[in-house]
Amino acid sequence: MAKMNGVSNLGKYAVGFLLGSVGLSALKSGIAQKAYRYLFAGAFIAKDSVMETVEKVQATTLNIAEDAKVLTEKYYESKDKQYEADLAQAEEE
Amino acid sequence: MKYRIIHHCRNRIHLDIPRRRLTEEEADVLYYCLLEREDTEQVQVFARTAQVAVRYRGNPEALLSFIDTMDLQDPALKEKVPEISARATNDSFKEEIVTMCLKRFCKRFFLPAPLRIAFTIYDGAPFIWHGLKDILHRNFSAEIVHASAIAASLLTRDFSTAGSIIFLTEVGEVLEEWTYKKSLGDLAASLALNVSKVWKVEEDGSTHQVGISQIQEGDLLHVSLGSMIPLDGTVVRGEAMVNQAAMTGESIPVRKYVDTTVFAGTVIEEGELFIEVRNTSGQTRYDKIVHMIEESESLKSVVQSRAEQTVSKLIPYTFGTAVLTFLLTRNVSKAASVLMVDFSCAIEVAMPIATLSAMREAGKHRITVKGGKFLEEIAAADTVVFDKTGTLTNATPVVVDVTAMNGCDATEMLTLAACLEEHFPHSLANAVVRCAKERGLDHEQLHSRAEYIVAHGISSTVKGEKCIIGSRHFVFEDEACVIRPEDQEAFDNLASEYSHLYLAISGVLCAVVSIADPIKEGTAEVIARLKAAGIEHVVMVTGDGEKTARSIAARAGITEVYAEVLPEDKARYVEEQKAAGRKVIMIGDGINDSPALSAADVGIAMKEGAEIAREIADITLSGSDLDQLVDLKNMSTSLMKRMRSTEVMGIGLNAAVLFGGILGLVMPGTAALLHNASTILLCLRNMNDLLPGESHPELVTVND
Repeated sequence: MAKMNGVSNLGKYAVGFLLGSVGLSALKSGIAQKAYRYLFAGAFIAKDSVMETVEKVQATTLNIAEDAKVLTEKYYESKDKQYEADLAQAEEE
Repeated sequence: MKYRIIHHCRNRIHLDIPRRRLTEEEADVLYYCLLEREDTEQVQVFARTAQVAVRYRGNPEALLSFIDTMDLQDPALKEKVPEISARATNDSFKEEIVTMCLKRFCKRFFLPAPLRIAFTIYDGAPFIWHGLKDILHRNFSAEIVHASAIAASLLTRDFSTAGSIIFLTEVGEVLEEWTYKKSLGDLAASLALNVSKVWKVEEDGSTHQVGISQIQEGDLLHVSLGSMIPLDGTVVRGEAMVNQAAMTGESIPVRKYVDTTVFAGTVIEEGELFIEVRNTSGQTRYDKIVHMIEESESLKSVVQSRAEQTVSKLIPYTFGTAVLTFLLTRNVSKAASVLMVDFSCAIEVAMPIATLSAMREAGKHRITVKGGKFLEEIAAADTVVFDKTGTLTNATPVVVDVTAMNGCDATEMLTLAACLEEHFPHSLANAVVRCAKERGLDHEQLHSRAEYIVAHGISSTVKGEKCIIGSRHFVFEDEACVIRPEDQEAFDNLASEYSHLYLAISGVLCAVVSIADPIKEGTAEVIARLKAAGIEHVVMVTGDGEKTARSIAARAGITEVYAEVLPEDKARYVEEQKAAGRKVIMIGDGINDSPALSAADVGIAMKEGAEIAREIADITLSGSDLDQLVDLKNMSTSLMKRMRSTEVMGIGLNAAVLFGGILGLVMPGTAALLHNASTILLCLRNMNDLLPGESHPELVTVND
């Protein structure tokens, strides 16, 4: 158990040393910067595509809502007609 | 521009433009060009997907062929886009909200826990920093409350709650900013619609009227007596006394001569000027309006300030309640819920929105209100003082009757009078000339040179006989004309409520022209409705004669009349009324009404009236009928009700959340959500119109 701890502590030191010396300069290197550029561009593109989807959904929803309104109106119109027809019939009787 | 119809239903058509996307500029051009058309009701441009949805009136064919021929790069179309596009602003806010939600989603579900905590602390730090700053400045603000809620959550290692609170508070702030900007933008756009015309001097010396937006730097303008200088510039010719009160607050006019600088918004009281324009309004006008609205101290009404004071007094109590809750329950989450409740938000955001929206609505009714304060004053007003000429009447006198004497013919006498008067620009003279024209009387140049005696009348010679026309004093005293004894009875029977012009030939009175300034239609009804709306005293104050004043007042249903009043006495009367504890609205249109307009609690000018009166007035009415006054009064009353209910609802809703927090029913994150949702709801409610019904056509929010 004690030995294990020793190894893991040694590992931690090693990682710390690497991060401190090589790591930071690696993070600042030209290749890394290029990678960041692509990463960010990717993020922006992803965001734009989400925004596009939001717009598409919005446009489609509005169309559906419009169709629904027409349907609703038709329904009530047919109801009105039915009511009037019933009324006329009742009067006849 | 080609298009494809995606969806067509009833009066709404959804088009796809065969492009991958539209640029912001193209979207603006498309939006404003379509919105401007008579046959469109609503336009939605989806820039990212290059689609547009239009709700139209009538037949879509004209609209579709317009879109077909449209070129989004056309500079003529580009001019229709206002300087600040409301469409683009809305879009950018929408994007901001979606981005915030996306970020929140990614942080919540994709970031590893340690990074997420780091981000939460990073996001929360500014809030805590603002809170600390306010504590240091001993300024008990809502920021402290927010900061402590976030700090409490962070310290108890409840990072997800802290994250929720930060996110909701940020989204709430953006939404509030959006609604505020939208109200402000709508108002500015409606004000920008009232573009004034200016007199431009061409290089060949001719002058003609053009819209102010067409003026460029270096153009020469002519500004005459009583008009407002429309743009900053340098005097090239002329000399004038300029009232710069609108700029400097100094009411004594300043002398302006060649090479001096004049400022936009100042008014010429005497003389005239030719000005070379230095700053065109084009780029800055909209900004200026927005600036004016924001800066204007008067924007904040007393009701609002009082409400703000009330809620800022509540902050220490909120804090105390949180501490107490913690001490009693030992539950940080409950205490944090209490801290999420912020009473000030609803009042600080929703109230200005109510005011801005009321000012915009007033603009829709063609009323320009210069500050929210005045709407409050109108709501409280119990006295209205009317000027007569131009306010209750149209200020365009008409000939009522021509009484011929000395055996003359009335028509002939009218012809002669018109002939003499036509060269002199006086309102009574205009009435005579207009009447002759209406009756189809042609008059040739009968007389020799006409001599104009200021404020008295005209003297000339026709066929060797001396003809004079003018006031009683001029005709009978200065010129010693006589009335034939057989005409004395007719002369005595002249209706005394009219103004009279006396025409005499060779020293004998030959005709009397009776002239009246008729009252505006529906005035009596307006006065009755004003009384019903809570105005107790309706007063008429005029410089005109007693009898004329009484006759007009009787027809308007006004019982309190003061006639033959001098301008400074009008102001003194208003002051007296104020001293008697009344809230006074003064309505007038002339230069002579200006002192009274500035003395009153609210000065209202008619848009057709003198520029200086409009400058001084707090509100301008642009309709020729007085109906707007009733609208204004009702609108103000509803606004006050809305302000009060905003206060009550803001405090009530938040108190409910607070108790929910204490009882443990509401978690801090939910509390933040409920709090922000209640604020946004109040804001949205306050953006609605105050007056029911659509009696006036909706103005589209486009620039000239």
